[in-house]
Amino acid sequence: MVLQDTSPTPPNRLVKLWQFLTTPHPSVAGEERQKTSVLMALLVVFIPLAALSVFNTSIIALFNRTGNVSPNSSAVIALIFVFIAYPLSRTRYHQIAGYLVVFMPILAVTAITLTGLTPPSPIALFFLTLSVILSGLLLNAKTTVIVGVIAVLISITAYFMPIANPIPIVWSIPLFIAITTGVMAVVSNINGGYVLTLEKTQQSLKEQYEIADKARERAEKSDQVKSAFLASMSHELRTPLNAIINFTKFVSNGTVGSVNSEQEEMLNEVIDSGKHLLNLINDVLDMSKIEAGSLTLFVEDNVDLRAILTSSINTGKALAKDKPLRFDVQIADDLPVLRADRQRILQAMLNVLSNAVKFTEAGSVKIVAARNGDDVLLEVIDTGPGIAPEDQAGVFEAFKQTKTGLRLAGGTGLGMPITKSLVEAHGGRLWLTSEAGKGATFHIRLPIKSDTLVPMTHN
Amino acid sequence: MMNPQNPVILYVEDEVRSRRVMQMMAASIHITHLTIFEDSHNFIERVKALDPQPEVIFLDIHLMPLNGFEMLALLRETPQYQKTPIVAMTASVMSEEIHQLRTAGFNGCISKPIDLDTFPDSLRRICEGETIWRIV
Repeated sequence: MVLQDTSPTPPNRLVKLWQFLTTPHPSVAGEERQKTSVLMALLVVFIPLAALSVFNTSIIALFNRTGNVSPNSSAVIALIFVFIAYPLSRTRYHQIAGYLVVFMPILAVTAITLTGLTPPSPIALFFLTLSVILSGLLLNAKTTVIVGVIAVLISITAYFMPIANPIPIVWSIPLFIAITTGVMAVVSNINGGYVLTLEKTQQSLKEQYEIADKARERAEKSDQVKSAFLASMSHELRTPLNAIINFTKFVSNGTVGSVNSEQEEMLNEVIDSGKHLLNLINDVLDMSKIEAGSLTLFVEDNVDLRAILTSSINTGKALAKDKPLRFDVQIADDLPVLRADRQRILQAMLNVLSNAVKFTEAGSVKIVAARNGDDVLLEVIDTGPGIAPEDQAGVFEAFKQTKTGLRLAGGTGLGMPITKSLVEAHGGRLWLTSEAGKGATFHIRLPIKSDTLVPMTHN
Repeated sequence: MMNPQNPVILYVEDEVRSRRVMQMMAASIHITHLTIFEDSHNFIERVKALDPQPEVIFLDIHLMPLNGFEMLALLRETPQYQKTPIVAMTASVMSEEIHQLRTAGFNGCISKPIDLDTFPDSLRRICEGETIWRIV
């Protein structure tokens, strides 16, 4: 099989040179780039033509022994400057270079006038004028064009009015004006060029910002779509569970007719499975929110931690049902209110407490809550089987459960990772201390008023 | 005066199974006055026409033509229902949605699936003026 060379034919050298001569500086962007490119091409064509037109008569005069500078040779000097300035115009100082291009014909006219010899030929004047105007356009600076026009007018006047040497005062005035205006134009336009560059930088910054803004909007929109999808998922899964769990319950408790004990047992399994499914749905949806980075806290000031603890302890007691478990509660009297998401803190406490109840068959679950500097420290201490050191890190990892955990409690294994994310989203920390066989302690440290949490305003 | 054990209940719910669950639940705790609206057409007129007038109102959130928030707003605009406990009974209980319910001015929320074991106690506490957020 023959491999075909698919690379494009390299452009020939002339094309390359043309491209080099007519490619504007990278700082020139957008529509202006094309305009600049056209003007540069015109300059490339006209400058050599201008040079040629004056070459035959002026090159000798420029270096003639008499020391006199002819008007034509002045035009050549100006054009040489144009040539020097042109490559410079490709650098980031192209504006400064451009001003030199305009300034040089003024100097040339000055030289013509000062030497007071033969006026320049009309063709030299024409190309000189063209160069000035093109340069002015290239710069896109009105002032420069005006100055160029003044210079051209003076040179035309000089053509029709040959002047004696030294120059009369009447000539010194427009000359003075032309030179002063030229210098001022250069100075102010160098400054203006800087301002122009600054404006361009600001423009491009603005464009970048708009691009970033649009990207952010898109990301937010996709976040919203994701959140809306998860919310509708939750709703769609919960609605049938309402019928499944509750109709089964009415059948199992004999509301709609007697059931034998075996049927009741199986119906209760349906109910438990339904409830388990509900927990799975909640955990999976929460976890996908956390994984997607779209967990939003609804932060309020003055969240009553004591009420949250009381409520979760009541739920914990209900979960313990028939287990011989003692609940020790030590809530400090000076427990402060928090800046937090009430629902999420409740969820975190419920997770930790129900975990303790789930794993502890007998003994006690102790809840300690106290202020600790700028934080609140919560501890849930159980007398369960404990967690072996090698298993401890896995407790907070999503989709992992300890062997004991799987055997004893089922569940998704998402409760603790979710809890950890919730606590950390509040600027807090969740960790555990345990020894296998000696129970476990889960510690939650929450800032009382984190600056990174901004309370939502209620309308 | 309202009897917290047997209040006059209005429930607005478009899903047939949820209505059945509520009927059975109400029957099991001997509620004698339960009215159920299957949609929210002419909502406020129909509420005003009720006899006896509702003492507790449970609103589903996703239904037509008015959603739960709009029904709540209409009720709150009507002087006679400004103090009536109005509770959302919904399967939309993601944190954003709960936040919306809280800020909208509901007196609480009971999430679906409804917990039959805790419902009687929640209902009594709602009638006694408590705000209940039973999100399970």
